[in-house]
Amino acid sequence: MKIKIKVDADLCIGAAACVVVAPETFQLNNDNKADVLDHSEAPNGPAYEREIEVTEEELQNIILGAESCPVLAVFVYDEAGKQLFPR
Amino acid sequence: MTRQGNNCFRDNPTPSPSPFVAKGEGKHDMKIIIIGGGIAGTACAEELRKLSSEVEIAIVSEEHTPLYSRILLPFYLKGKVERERVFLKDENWYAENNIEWLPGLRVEKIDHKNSFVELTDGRELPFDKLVIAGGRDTRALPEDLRGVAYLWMLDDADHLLQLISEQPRPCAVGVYGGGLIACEFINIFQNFNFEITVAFRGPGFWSRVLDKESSELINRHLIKNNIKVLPEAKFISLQGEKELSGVETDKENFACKILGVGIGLEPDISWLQDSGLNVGKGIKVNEKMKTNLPNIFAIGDTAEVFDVHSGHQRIMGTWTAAQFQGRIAAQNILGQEEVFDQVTSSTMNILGLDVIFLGDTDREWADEVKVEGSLEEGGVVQIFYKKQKAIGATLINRNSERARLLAEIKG
Repeated sequence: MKIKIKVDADLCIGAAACVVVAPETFQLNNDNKADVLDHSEAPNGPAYEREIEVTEEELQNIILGAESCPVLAVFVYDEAGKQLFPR
Repeated sequence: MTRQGNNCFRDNPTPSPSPFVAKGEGKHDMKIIIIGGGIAGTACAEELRKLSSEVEIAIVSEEHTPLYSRILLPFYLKGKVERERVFLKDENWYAENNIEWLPGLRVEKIDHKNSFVELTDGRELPFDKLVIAGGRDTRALPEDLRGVAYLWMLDDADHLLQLISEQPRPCAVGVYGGGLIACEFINIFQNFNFEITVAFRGPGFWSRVLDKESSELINRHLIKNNIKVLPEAKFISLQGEKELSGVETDKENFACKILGVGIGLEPDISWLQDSGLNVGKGIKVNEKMKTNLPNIFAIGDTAEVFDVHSGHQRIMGTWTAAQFQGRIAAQNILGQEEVFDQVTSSTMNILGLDVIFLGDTDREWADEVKVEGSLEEGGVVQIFYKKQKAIGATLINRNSERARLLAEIKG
């Protein structure tokens, strides 16, 4: 399935909880904020927002990464634009 | 001297029925009590419920509110998020997940031989497994006046916002302390264009961890941002009759209508002295969150956890560590043998300057500290070694080194 992941860079404090849970999807950049990756790759360069194709298992892990963020800076949407997290 | 939350016995004098009627035998009717409703305790409960729909879970929480993010409080104070957004759970979440939530209560005593805890309202709750996730209390000044503010609980944030709303502009405010919370006060006060004086006992911020160059880098950055900095200033007294008007230190006095105090945190462990638990600075646990007593686990800010990367038992004191320790305790309660092996990290941005602590930065535990960069270069990295292995690092304005150092500490 296709999902959209967005990191609110104004909120992100670089706590790296998302990176610990889902390192193939999140990586801290030099501004100490989390970039969004597509399976450890960054096609078209670094980005705070990205649409990626994931399995159900990958989705659940990405949501766990988003849930782990102490400032709830990670937003996850399904293909239709419905917000999956924060719920 | 520390500040504690409300004792709920006063608020809730009528004991209600015990959530647990009788002690269970097997895993399926296992009764698990979690002391503390912060991130560690709640993450533990959530993971337990994910793994088992059958275990009985109760959270005894001193605070009256559902779980909220302390990390979001500065964002709330600066008006970046609404107050309701700081809550990570609502009141219905506990019942929806079949978790008994006992807000506004403290555990007064643990009887590990007979496996029960005694609450402040007189109730005795039996347990098969007990998780202590009690958190920390803020150290307080020896005196108080209206205008003195702390920043740890949601009530503190509400109080501070009230004080801020009452002040005219321009207005002089003060910060006393040299750690993370003092930094948050500086950021918040700057957001409101207050004239800020910051005073601390040591030569700089985090003086037990940072070297002279790192400290000076932070001090100069504050001065460049029009903050008046008073290093090596010991608090003497508050000035003012009914309301704060200033602070007397042994170095210099300064006027302020609000004083943000951030002089450290202490684990809430004094009540555990006769519990049979091995207690040092916190409750000593191994990397599996197990204490010296069978069936009792400790996590989060009350736990002195064995750090597998440094070989040192220490209070990790970060949100992320507390959360993951909660999950690991839950997995191990249900029979797994998971290990907490995260390299802890703590990050802070002080008026645009990034400060990052990775892993174990205890100077007394390390046998060598190497320094890269300098004040002149605008960034300083310290790398802490034990037996020639990197165990921790501090990075001031050197974010780009984070991944390399993290990998080095992970080994």
